[in-house]
Amino acid sequence: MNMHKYEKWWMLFGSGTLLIFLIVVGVSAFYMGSTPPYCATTLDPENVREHDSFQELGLKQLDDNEYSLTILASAFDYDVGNPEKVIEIPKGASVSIYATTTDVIHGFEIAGTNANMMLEPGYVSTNRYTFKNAGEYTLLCNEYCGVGHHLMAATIKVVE
Amino acid sequence: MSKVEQREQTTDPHEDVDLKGTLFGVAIVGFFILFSWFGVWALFLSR
Amino acid sequence: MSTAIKRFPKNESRLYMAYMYVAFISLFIGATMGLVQTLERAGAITMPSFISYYQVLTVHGIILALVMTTFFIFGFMLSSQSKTTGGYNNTERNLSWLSFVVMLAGVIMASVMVFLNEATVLFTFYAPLQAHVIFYIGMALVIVGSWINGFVIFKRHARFRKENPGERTPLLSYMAVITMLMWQIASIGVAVTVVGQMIPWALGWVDSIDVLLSRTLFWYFGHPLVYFWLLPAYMMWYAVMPKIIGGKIFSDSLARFTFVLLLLFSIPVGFHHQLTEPGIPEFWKYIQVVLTMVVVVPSMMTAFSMFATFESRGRELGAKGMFGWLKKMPWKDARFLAPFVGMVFFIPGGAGGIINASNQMNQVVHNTIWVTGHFHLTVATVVILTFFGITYWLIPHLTGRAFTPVMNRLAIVQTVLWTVGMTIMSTAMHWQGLLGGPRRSAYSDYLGNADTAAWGSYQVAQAVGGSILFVGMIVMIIIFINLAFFAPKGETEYPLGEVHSLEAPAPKVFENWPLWIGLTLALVLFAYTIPLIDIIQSKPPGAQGFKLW
Repeated sequence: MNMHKYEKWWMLFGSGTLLIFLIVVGVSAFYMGSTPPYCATTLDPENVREHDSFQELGLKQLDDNEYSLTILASAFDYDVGNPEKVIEIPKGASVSIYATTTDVIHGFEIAGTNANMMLEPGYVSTNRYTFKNAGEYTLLCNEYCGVGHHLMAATIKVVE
Repeated sequence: MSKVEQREQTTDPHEDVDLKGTLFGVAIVGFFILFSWFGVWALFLSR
Repeated sequence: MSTAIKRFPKNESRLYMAYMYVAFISLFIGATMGLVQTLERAGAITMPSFISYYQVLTVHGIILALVMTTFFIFGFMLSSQSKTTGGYNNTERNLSWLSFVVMLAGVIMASVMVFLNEATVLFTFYAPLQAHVIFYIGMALVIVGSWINGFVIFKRHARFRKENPGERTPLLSYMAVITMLMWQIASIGVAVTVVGQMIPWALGWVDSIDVLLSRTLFWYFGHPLVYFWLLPAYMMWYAVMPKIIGGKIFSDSLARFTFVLLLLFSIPVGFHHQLTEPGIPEFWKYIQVVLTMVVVVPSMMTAFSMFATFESRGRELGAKGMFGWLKKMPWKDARFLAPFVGMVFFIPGGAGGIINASNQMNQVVHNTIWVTGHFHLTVATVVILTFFGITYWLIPHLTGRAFTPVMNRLAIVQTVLWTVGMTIMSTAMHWQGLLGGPRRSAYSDYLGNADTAAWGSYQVAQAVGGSILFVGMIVMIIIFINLAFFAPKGETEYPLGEVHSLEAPAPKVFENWPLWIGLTLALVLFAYTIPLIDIIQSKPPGAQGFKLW
């Protein structure tokens, strides 16, 4: 089985490119903390509201520029701790988001940001996001969950 | 390498063909992949 | 008479045409649904009372991505194996009919449930959304039915090797075997979740389901599923296209080698569809990302082979300079044009796929309509245009008719319509996705914020593109009906690429099936054992079923 000289060059260039991608995301994930979303803890999907993690919903300041944001999703609503469905976050804040669902799988997407996680029954999804850019962002569901899927939303305001 | 294989290699249909156009074509593909990937990566870093 | 011109015996043509009828009826229904979706999302129409957006979406996904593809693929693959190995015997042919009947029964069962609004769960039917049990039984029948065809394809290839000891096996038969091996190994995952988890749960025999396990089993299947679509397109590109342009197969050995690599690396990569999910260890997500990058390699080799095939032929015809060979290609032959356009669309399609799989970068695009843009490039353009290209010679070959110059011109129109429509629609989808627009969502103003309002113009663009695609589909259906029933009688060639006479036979190791199956399974075990144990051991209580539609 013979390979043309140019094909060997191409495979070297192509594989090299893929290796570069893997190194960039790998270093960023394992050494710089830029991980995909993961599980903070598991719980009983039929008793979510009773769980410790979900007693206080909404934004809570932990430290200088460190916050936690706890949100509960259900069909077809995001409970962000207030009926206005608005969360105000200071620009530059690092927020650890904790969210889960009380029923089916929901998405958790703050449009225009990297905050994008799946919420699955029995798991508390989490990731840490720094809100670098001011603006008004819509939190919405991007995983089909039933007839009201496209009606689930809240507003995240990142303020100066 | 046996004599038979040697003979077959020198008359291999791949050795003589000019594939510069092919090299150019795959290079375009490669650069497209690079640019689009780093484009989205830049977006990711900026958000 | 050469094998290429000689027609199949009637009992075989009927079998392959049966698959084709199902495929094209599915295309008609599915693409019509697609039009409805783009119009609804653009705010141009509202859904009537008797059917919901999500029902339409469920039909669209299942009937195009599961039914149309599978049935077309079997019609093409079986005909290509038969043509190049010397035909099927009665047992093999009857088993394939059995496969057809079982799969069709499953399709009908599932479709009826969807139309009755008992299974509005989309193409991925994720738990804990719970459909009617008949839907799951239907899906299980489609999968198990397909295994029968796999068995036929393995058996026929083994028979060729036994009857022709020492001879190089036909490339198309070899590739069909690889494709079905990949399919059988991969579909075990979806079979286990459907039969082992969902059916007992839907029947009430168990009252909860392990959601993460179900999704993991699904996506273990879900990624190789897209290779089940892609590999038959590659079969046409490697083993048929050279004949259409009058050239030779660039390298029979390299083609087999890419297929071996595709078998090994298409399966242990399902986590790249689950990158934003909880409960899967970060390390193992990354390992499967690495394996995903490896599966890009055989496609890169394929790109080289395709360019090289065209350039070799072009130079043979006297082309000079770096690009002269482009002019020598048969642009006016739709059998060439459609698959060629498919190849071109693989450039953005493949690039987007690499972006999707890039670990934490997936958060930029996950479940946005960028993903929809991506797979409309890959399956709905690369693969489908190749299949349309196949249609132009396969159908008339099966029906004993001619592909007339008029139909050829119409086919070129079809290709242009598809290209224009898809460019508009997919580009708008990619861009709206980057702006955060979600996929799988009916029309909504959300909370009236500026960010969601900005998506409107992209949705309108998708409706424009989608409408052009719809017209393109109608043109394709017209061509199909012509080639099946009305075209003048004639002899249409089944184009079979020839291997260069000077090319050395492929290394024997490529037919060492226990080796390749063993390595495939080893890679799957490597990529999945530890995370699966973790998923099962750390699981929370299971979830109830929900019917939220």
